[in-house]
Amino acid sequence: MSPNSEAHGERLLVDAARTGDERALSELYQTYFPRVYRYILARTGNTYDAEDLAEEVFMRVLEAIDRFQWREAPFSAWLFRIAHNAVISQRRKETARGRSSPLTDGLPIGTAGPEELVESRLVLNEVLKAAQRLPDAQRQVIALRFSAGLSVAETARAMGKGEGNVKVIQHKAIAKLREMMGQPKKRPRVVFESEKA
Amino acid sequence: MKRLDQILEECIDAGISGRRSVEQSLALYPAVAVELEPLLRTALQVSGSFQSYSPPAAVEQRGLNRFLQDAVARRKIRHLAGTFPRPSRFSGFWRTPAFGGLSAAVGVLVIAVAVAAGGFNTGDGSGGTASSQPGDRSAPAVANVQSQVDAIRQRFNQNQHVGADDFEQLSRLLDTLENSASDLDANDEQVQRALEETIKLATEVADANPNLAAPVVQKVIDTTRDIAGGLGLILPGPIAGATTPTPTAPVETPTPAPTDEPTSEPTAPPTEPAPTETPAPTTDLRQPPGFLP
Repeated sequence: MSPNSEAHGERLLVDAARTGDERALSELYQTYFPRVYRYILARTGNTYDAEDLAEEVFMRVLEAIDRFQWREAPFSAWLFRIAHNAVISQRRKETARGRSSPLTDGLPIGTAGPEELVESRLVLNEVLKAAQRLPDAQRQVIALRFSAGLSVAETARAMGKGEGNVKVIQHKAIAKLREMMGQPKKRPRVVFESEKA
Repeated sequence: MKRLDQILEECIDAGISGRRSVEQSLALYPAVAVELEPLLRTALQVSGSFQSYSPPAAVEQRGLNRFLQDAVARRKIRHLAGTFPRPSRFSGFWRTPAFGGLSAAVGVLVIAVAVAAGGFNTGDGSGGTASSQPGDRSAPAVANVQSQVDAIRQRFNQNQHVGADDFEQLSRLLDTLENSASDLDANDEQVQRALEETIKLATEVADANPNLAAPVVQKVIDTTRDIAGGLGLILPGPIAGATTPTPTAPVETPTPAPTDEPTSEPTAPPTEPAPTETPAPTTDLRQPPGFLP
């Protein structure tokens, strides 16, 4: 599907959702929920926050979708602005309460799946920890580009920055992540229980 | 000639979409291959690890149910409320006591009809957001903010003393409002008015008195924009040549008061590059694009 027809399809979907079309709302939710969830996870490093805030973001979308107007900004940029605001708002509340959400110990690593999946979960835990040590703008670029899967253009829109600036920030963020995580390398193979026997 | 950050992005994009392997990208840019390779591998590893992770299915399903129930409840309320003239058509009238009485009567009628129609049953007993009237619990907080803004505005317009303590009080009231933000109704004109007038006042005062701009006025601006952003409202940007006459009265220059929380989202550190291609917009970056006021 070309980007133009994809954008057109999304426009039809969003417009239908605005009229209250349940199928469109459902599709919109299913398209974006995993991306919003991963975005918040990347920002907060906490699965509980990701669950709560992702739900809250979609409630805010319902409240605000009537006022969304198609201009130059894509729907995704608008949606992730709401997600960004939800994260900031949560952070403020926690600061006011004098506590902060701890980084999750680690995402559950099931050994039932393929080895690649287990390995990528280990990497993700490492990425989440490292990302928390990045400056905020860099963390946001990583979250939008790699966890939410936005393009550079969409990331720029969502952050209110120029595309060139986003590329520079992305470059720096990746360099720092690499520094913190070490060289990408093959990890020690996970030995499954069935193999031990 | 392309810079490394541009080449990196091109190769990341090609790698994520599966158009090119890392080796093919490195072969395309042999001059920077040594620098490019570890960055590209890291980026693709990070991307792959995120994309391989999905939220728990139960979480997604629970959220979807709540989302659709809320959408249905909202549609019913809108349908019922749509039988009455929208308050916005009564520009100016809505601030009068007569309108207050009328809107209360209409509100009671809408609730009564909705309840009779069974429109607020969310099904799972979880008490969806539509089970109470949005704004009911937050109304005093909105009124307090508006009252404080009106008081400061009056003194500001009359060239009387406006100090940091005024804004500290306003900031506290905004914090209270933010804490009840989930109860706010974005369509409530009182909410919109309070937020708009707060941002306008703070911006005008900051413009007129740069010494007062930091940090408490900035905090007021940030909090107001956060609340508005969460509601999907767009607020006016910094006002150039504000319509209100600039006061000449002396204004207290405060010692920057320490705050318990950040006045705004942490910005990029000094090492962060300045925008190189597109300058950062002069308006607040938190405005969600795609909105009209």
